[in-house]
Amino acid sequence: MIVDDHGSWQLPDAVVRGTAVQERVYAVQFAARDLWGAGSHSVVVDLWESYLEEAE
Amino acid sequence: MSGDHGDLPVAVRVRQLEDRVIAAGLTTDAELDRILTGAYWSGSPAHGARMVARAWLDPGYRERLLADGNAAAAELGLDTGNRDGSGYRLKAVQNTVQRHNMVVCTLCSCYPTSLLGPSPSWYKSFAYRARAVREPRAVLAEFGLELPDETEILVWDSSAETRYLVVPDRPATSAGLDQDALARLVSRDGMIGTAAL
Repeated sequence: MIVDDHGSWQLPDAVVRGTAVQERVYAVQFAARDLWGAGSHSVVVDLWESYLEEAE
Repeated sequence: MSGDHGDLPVAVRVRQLEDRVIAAGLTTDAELDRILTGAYWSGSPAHGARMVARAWLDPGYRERLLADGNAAAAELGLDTGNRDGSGYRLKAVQNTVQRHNMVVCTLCSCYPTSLLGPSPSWYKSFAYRARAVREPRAVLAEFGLELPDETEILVWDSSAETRYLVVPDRPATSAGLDQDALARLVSRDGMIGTAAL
């Protein structure tokens, strides 16, 4: 679930190749149960747009 | 910096890494010194504490802080840029009875240094970075913070260019205090989310 829009930032995968690509970054919240199979907490990870794929 | 760490294995690794990036022409010794000196001289948890205290006293400021952390920092004359000219997005997250926020950087040690000062060594440890996302309740208990079962824990992983600042709950005993006195109650760990106030 996307909980925040961080705006556009340099894509690190491009930076390390010496190129510049700006991409939208989102705060994406996951239930610990979905990540680790256990836990009642949630984890929010900041992810560039190309790291995401459409939910099934 | 506290003491001389020149003999530690990690210092040797850091020096080797510095040599490599300098040899590759990516930076210079002078530039590294300038960045580190800037970060260590200008950053202080007193800055973040001032923002939190202001948010407790002024609901309008709290709203602006939660909506746009960078603008709210600038409003108090505080810097959210890095010494090398690159900035970060500041996002403030507020603790409530229902939800406790805690911050980690699983990849490395991203941290709002200008508002919290240099990060504590445990923040950079493999153990904290791995366990904060996996079993935050147990980690918080080891920090002495036992949360009620019904309080939801939200762990913010600074995996990009956003830095997080936790706005802790105002202590019930702080009625009538002014902004400076309130700011003195706000601890660095409270703003990372690993301590209650």
